[in-house]
Amino acid sequence: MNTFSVAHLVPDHIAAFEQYIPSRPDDELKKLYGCDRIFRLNNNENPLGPPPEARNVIKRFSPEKAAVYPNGDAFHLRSKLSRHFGKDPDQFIVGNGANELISFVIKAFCREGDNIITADKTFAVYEWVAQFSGFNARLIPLKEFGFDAAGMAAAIDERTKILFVCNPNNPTGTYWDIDTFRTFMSAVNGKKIVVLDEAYCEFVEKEDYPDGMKLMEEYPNLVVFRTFSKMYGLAGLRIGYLAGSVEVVDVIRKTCVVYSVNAVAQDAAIKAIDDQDHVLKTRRLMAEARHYLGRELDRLQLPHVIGETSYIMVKLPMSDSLAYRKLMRHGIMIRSMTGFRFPNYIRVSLSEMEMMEAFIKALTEIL
Amino acid sequence: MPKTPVLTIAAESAFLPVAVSFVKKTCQGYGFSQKETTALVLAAEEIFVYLNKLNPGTMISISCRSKPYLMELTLEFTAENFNLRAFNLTSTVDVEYESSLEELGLLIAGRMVDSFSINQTGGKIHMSLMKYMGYKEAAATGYTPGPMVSRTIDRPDPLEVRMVAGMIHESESMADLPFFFKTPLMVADMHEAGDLAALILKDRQNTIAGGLFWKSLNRNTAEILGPYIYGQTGASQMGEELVEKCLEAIGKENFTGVICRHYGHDLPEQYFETIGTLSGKKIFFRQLQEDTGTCAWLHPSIAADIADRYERLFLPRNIIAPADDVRPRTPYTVISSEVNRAADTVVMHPLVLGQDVLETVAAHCLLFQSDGYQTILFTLDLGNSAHAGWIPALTENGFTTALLVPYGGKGDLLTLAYHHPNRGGK
Repeated sequence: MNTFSVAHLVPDHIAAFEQYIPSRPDDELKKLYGCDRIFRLNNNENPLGPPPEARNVIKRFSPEKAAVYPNGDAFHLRSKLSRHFGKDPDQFIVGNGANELISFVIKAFCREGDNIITADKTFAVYEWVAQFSGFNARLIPLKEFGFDAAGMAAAIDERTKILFVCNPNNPTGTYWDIDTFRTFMSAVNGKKIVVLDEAYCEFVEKEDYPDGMKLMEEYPNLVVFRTFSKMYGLAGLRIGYLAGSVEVVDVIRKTCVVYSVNAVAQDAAIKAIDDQDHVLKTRRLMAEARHYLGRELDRLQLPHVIGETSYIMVKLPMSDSLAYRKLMRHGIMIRSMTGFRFPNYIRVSLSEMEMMEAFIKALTEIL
Repeated sequence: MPKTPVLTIAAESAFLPVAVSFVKKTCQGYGFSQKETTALVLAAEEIFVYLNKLNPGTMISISCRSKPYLMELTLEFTAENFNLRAFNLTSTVDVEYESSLEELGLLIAGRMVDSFSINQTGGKIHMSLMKYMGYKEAAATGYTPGPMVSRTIDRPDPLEVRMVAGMIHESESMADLPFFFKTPLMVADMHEAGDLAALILKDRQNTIAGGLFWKSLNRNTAEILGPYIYGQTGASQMGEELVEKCLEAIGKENFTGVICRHYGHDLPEQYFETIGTLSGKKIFFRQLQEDTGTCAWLHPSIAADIADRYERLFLPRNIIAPADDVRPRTPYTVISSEVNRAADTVVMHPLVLGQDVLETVAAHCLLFQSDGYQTILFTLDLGNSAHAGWIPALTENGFTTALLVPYGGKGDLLTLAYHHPNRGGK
């Protein structure tokens, strides 16, 4: 038998990169950690699930349709988004979650030697996709838990192609207000692509929060990411979208993988986007959980960062990975934050009171 | 870094001068001294000659890789019946037997280098022999930093690395440090080679008051060395800042965990877990990722003890017992030994499990005891089913579990400590 060695075929930037290992399925974790139920407070999923009409679409999805390819570029959903936001359908690209969209944008604009700029403590996928695509990711330290607009602008050079801003930031929940955003866009001066990742925008109620969908009319170099995974409870179907000027989106579309978004996801998203009642209900639930956790964490004298999103960050007097294991024994799954460069912090999804109380009870026991 | 030169050649007597010349010229080209060059040349020559006698004409690839502080000689070949036993530190030759004399060369090769590793997959052998650059003892500087004003934590330049390494060398006992701290220049060379990362504490006047180093132990585990802080009030806060910055840097690398065996007074323990004690010193560890569980191959004789440790460390593990009717197929056992004379410690690692495992382990322990080593350790990878077969021989020889490093190898790395039956333990 011929022996095959793959090593010589692997580029250095891939060899240096470690694969991401996702969590095991709940049934496996329950066996390993010896717990009879798991409260998932690690992925910022909406405890209310999808809006009612989206639920109906999923329930009614005909098995026969599973044999048919979905629409290749989410024609109906893009039409729906265009009506919802008052834009041209060609200003939208729908993807298999925001992760895929990040990849499209980087592939569209970067070539060998180029760089992207983002923060050091933010959603890791911008950095990962850049690195395993062979591009340099310049990571600017956060300032008081928020993106450093001046620091990012100062890091721009002639090989910078894209600046990724997570607004509000995951995992800190901080956001740029409209003034900070405008100052930053002025500094960029229309020379680079700015991606505003608004995965959690529907949770923010503050007046000074900038709405990327409106602002892109002023800034043609602005690309906005949104998702149906968080507020709209469709994380399991993997669907998100980006929007920008037709000129920019046409370039990004060249790198898109068609047929990557399944039919039921497209149909459910069409029904989800208009449900403002669902948004209000979710916000009320988040506000209640936020208030409760804030009070309890104060009582426990644990430093915490509460932002405008569906999660909070807590600093523990112990290793966050140890806290993860201890909490798992109580059936509570949180996100440890060392991988986000926040050692000894955990991120906890806001959820229904039963889960919040179970979390605080378990946390009190392990401290 | 220049491209690694490689020579692929048939193991024929006629080509021995070519192989020897290749290693010699490469070492000289990299600027290695006569002493280290001679050691590697001799090691390569002995292995070549042995291979020529065992499998004449088999192809051997020889490569030499240089770093500022070491030269690594790699030999790759396919050979049946290649006797790795000669690499045991306890190996001897019997002059009455020719076959034993033939292995003398291998024995010499093993003794010529500072460390070696061998991987054997079927008949394919990958042998790596390393020789460290010779360093002179460092002269004492007597430097003691004054109080810092407006301190920062920075990545150091080479001179700053030497300075911090010098402070550590002069202030700490070598028994508490890894061997390369014996000479600050070696620390600086390792840093330059990218094999050691560092953070230092300094202020605006360039007063340097200490630092922290880290390095890769293996694919999964990093090791933090420090923090070490001198001449400061509030040093515990500085230690926390150094560790936090270090974890931020390591947190997105490929490691699953970080171990801390060598540290000063200012280690912030709340960032770590205690995973055991060695030579009376607590060993700290922390995982860098969420533990999604793994399996552990454990002989029933120690399964309950390890299960209890897993429970205390909240580690989710499936314990699997190996089949009890499996007997080693090879006659001879091979063990690699890592010796730290300054710390009076030796760590053994399993290479080949043979039918003489009980006697070979006993012989190693006897040798190290007679040489005066106070701490004799043996490591097993619980993710490697073959390692479970070593456990009966180790427990019978007086080894007990001392340390469990989660994912320290393919699976968890178990360290067992030797307790001499007549001394009542160490």
